Amino acid sequence: MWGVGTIMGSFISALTSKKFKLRKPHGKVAARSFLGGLLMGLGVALTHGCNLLHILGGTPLLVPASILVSAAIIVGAYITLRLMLSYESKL
Amino acid sequence: MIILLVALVVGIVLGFIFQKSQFCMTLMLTESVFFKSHRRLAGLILAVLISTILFNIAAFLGTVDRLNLLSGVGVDPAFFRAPLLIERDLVGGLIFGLGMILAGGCVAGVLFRIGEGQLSSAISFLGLMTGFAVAIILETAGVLGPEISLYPPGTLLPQVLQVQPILLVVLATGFLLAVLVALRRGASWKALLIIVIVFSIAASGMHYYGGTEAVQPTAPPLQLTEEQGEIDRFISTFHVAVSNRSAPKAVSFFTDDAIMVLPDGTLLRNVSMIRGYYEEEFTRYHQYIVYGKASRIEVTDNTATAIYSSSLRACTLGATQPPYLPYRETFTLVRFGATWKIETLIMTSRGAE
Repeated sequence: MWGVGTIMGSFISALTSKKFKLRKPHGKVAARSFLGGLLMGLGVALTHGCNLLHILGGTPLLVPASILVSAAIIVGAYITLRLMLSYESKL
Repeated sequence: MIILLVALVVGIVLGFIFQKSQFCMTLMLTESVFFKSHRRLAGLILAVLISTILFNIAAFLGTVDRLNLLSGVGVDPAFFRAPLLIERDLVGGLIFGLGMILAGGCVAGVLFRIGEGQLSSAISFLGLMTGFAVAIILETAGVLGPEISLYPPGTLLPQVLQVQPILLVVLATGFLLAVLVALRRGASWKALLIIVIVFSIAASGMHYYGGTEAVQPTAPPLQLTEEQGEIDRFISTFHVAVSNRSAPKAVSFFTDDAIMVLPDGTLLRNVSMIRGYYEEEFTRYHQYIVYGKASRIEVTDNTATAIYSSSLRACTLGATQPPYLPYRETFTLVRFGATWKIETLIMTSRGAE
């Protein structure tokens, strides 16, 4: 329900500031988006919650599991970004 | 129904804020690594620190359970009662981080970009749903293995570190001020790293300063003699075996002619019936958490009785997590070589008292 609300809220906000525009992705980007979404879904199911709940919900409440998950998310994202950076600089 | 409505309204407000501020962790990290612009990331860190301080002050001043603080905006407090599952949390977090970069947005980012009309984010959302489904299939097939939890549900960092929560608040405030001052003076990342290290050392030092006395237990703990402690450890390992949803392990704690009585009065007359019961329970539920606190333990030479106030949560993956079910366990144990075995286990509902 949060999700539906967020999409609606963002839609209203984008419409009012005239930023709404349907944007179609290329095939490669679409495949990457799907794979990324799949991995995120797996991660959410494994850790029982998404990044926002863990980083802005669990960590300030001092839940040990959330602190570990938050650290792992940031490390995972950082490693991926670094790999992308070194891969792109070689091209 | 009202909860759903609250969640919808909160969601709309969040969607508005997310879209206006372009709130997305992927964007924050990408800017930080690619363009060396840490402004957005610093904002997130400040948000976490400030909410740490405010949440804990609220919990310290008020009588509310701190885990219920967010229930007003539609967050199920059961979410924060997740036990620490090191392997799952670590692997899940790393996978999430990888996926977040590939998808070009975290969950919040994906949602607000769908609202902006970004079709690739809608595809990511489809992937997200597929990921849930895959996880449920893996979990049901038992590929993910048993969950080994390090702390019982609801254990918070102050209890793990054995310090007063207010000490952590003082520490977080100090950290916040130090970072703010450093940023004001245009500090490099090296200076920030030094601040982090100094405060980490201070935090670990509090472990010794706080000592065991600093913990505020919810109920007065039972002073256990050495013999009673042995029984208590035995029962805890039994609870862990059940929480790991391992029927063979759970059954190995019982004698062959053990008797078990369930809260509804069902009598299980021998160990094979008990095995059947656990196998059925563990196939039906994907998450099964049992933990208990001793309220009385009596030990003689070869037998012992123990009464436990226990809690159970059994649920299927993906379902909203139900509250813990309180019940009472009365164990009769017999000595079995160097260890003990359960001869009878009577479960009674605690709600009726």
